[in-house]
Amino acid sequence: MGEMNEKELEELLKSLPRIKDRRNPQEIYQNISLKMEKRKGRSWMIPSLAGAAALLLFIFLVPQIMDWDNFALNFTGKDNYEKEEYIESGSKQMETVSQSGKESLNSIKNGQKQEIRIDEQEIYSAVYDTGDSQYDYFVYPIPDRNGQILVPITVVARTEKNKAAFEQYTELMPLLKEEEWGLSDYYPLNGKLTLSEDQKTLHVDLPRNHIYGEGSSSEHNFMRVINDTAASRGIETITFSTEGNPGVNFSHTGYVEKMPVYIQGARGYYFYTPPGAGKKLYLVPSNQSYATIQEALGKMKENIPVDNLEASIPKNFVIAEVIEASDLLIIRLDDTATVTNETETIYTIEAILLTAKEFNFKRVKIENSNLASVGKFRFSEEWTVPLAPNRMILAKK
Amino acid sequence: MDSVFDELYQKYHHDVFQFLFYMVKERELAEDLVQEVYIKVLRSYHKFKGNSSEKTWLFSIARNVAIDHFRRQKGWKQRIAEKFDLTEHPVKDKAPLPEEITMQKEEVQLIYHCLDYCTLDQKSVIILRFIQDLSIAETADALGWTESKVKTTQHRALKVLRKQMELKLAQEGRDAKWVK
Repeated sequence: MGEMNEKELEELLKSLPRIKDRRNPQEIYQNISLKMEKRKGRSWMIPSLAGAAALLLFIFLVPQIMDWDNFALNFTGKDNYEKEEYIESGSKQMETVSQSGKESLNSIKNGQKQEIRIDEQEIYSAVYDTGDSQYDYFVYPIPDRNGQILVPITVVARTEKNKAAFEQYTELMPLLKEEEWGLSDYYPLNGKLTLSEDQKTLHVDLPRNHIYGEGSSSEHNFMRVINDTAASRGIETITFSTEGNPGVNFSHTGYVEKMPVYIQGARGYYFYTPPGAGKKLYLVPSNQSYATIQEALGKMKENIPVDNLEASIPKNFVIAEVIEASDLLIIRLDDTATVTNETETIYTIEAILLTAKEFNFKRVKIENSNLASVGKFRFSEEWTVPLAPNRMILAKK
Repeated sequence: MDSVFDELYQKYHHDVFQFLFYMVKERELAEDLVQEVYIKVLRSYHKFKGNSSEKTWLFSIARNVAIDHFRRQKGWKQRIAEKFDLTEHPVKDKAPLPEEITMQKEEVQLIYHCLDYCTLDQKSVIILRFIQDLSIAETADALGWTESKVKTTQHRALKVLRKQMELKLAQEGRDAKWVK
């Protein structure tokens, strides 16, 4: 028998037919979502077909600009308080309840005071770990006034003994001063949030005539807010009910009983200044996620006009090299780079730190700077990434 | 929809699906496995550092998913009985022929069957090199091997295929076509 020609053999292999997946991407995505949910090992029943269909609808109805990828609640609020302040939360009507504590809406007792920590260093926007276990931080995604982006706002409060963190989280909601901060009045929510005992499921109970059914924008934002809240707290599933009965009807999404929490890829942080809010600058994650830290840092030099986000890295901050050394990110500046000694540079650094955190880096070092330091950031040192963005102060309300 | 999913789907879905299909030769199974790949990718996408290309990264995940599948498929008895590493042992398929294949001329159908005589490693190389049209370097990247290992494995795989093709054609008395 003769030998087969190798080229012929290769040609034959190359002529094997293309095999295509005949399913549409929606179907695939739905299967993945359901699987990811099931995989989490909870004893949930498989969502009903209606629920699954609703989830699908929801996924596809969210317009690109409303990209709910924004789950990370990061904010850069800079507020200026020098001392500890107290908020009286007594008269606030709480719309959220923590199931684990079996506390009801009235869990904030009259006269009870919540201590809010004020950082002396008022300039810095992000919240850093001070190792002080007496304080906890709470991140709230708040839509801007156009409902285009979610600004993650962080509140630092004294840890209350005998109170679950989620309970404290919901109790602080009515105290947020969104409008004063130049954002849209969003909290407390028009519904109750409870957390399952294993802390893996967030339950949302809405009134029959809830306000999130009016218009697709409010619905999408609500879903994003809920999703971001859940994602930032490591929650895996969200369940819905209407006045205690399973499921909620949304005008666009339709009927939803349950949905998996969507975890977005790493994003970049940009500057956002709401109109007419005293030039308050926030650090806001992009709706879009980026594949690499290099890509993110490159994109952060450009505005995203569609979301009113501004570049957080100035053009003269020329990066020569980005080195990933395990959990340390080293950014080497070009010889032509100029770092200016001004407040905005601090926000640039914080935006970089928060972006590095998105990519799971724990520390950042910037080398070859023309300055020795900007504010507390000394270029000879490695900086630990912050806990959360946009620290805001809850003053007396 | 998840923007990462969307992007990956647009760019690579059919490639990854096709790779898995030729690995397992069963459409429904490939459908399940490709979902498995997405789950792994979506969970670790933020960790993707761009050391390799996105495409080869996906192929490497897909290959691991396929290998996991074969491992699960084998019962413990079989595993105990088997001394060989799975990746060096051929895995035979019994699934019905997909219509894309049945529509092909006979030699193509034959070589499709002959793939079963390759080990998983050999099959991976053959699929990546000739069906997915990856370069030696890309294949090495996807498999986490050196280029020379890719070349050797490819060489051995082609040898196995040639032998099987000749055998099968001879059985049908049609070897003349392949004589140089």
